[in-house]
Amino acid sequence: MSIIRVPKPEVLAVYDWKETDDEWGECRLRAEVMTLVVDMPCSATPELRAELDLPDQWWTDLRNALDTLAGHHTEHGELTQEDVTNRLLAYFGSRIDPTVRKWTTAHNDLNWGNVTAPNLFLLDWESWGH
Amino acid sequence: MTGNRGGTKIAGYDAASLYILSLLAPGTAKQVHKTFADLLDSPDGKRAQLLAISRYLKRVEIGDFRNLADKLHEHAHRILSVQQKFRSYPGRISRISAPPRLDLGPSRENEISRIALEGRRTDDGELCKLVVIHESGGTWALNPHGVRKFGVRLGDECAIAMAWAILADAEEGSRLPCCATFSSVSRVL
Repeated sequence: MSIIRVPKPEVLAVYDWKETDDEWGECRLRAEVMTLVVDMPCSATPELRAELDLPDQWWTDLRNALDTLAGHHTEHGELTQEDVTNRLLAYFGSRIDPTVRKWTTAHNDLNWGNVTAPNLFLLDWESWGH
Repeated sequence: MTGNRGGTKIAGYDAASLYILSLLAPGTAKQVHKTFADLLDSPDGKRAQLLAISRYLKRVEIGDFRNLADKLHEHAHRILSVQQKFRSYPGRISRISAPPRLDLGPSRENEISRIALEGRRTDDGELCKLVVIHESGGTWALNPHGVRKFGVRLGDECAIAMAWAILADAEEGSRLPCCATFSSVSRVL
């Protein structure tokens, strides 16, 4: 899986190994070397606790990044209609029609702790696997 | 991380996540909304927002995001109360995300969704639909069905003000069964 034209660190090398732990048994571990991003996350927490003052260009970049990502095809982490239907029913009852019209590719853990400024990068892609 | 893997999601899910996580900073939330209005305001966008809300409510249960809990509930309520209102007028108001049904005319490029209300023409009393098109530029176009060359386009604030004015008038005459559920229309419309 390679995501191109989305501002994110580039994974240069991956090393997988196994270790046996007394508590957890056999563990699979992974180390990744990525290109360095020097820009800071927009927030120290996933939720924003103070207003951000970002230039229009940053917002344009964010829009473009998510649009580009959405256009990628992936077989990864497929969320099904049944998952959505069950989740919405559990939390909000039947007040909302759960039928999804359009599915696109998403980062899926995007939050204010993993988007950077002043230059926009989207971080935390490890759940994507390789 | 189970269930949070990257991959295929409802259109607008990432934008919805950032929006939901901005609710404590209304100015920035507004900017997120402006940037992704076409996605967030679409029916899929509302589902994506509710899905993101449920994800963080789930985290509240284990002690995370406690400061966000009230905002999450309020925001879900805003989305749902509007949905419910549409449903209580079956056959008279239909809300269709683009692309719309053919009988209401072809979709416009900048169309997010349309609301069609059934009424009667003022000249001959024949049945006629009023079509309200929510456009991605933050505008709303109002046309009698079938009349494309002449309609009225309202800015976002103006369209919302109109909706409020109608509600206020209706409330005054007590013709609306439960005005309270409209109290949050402005944000979602």
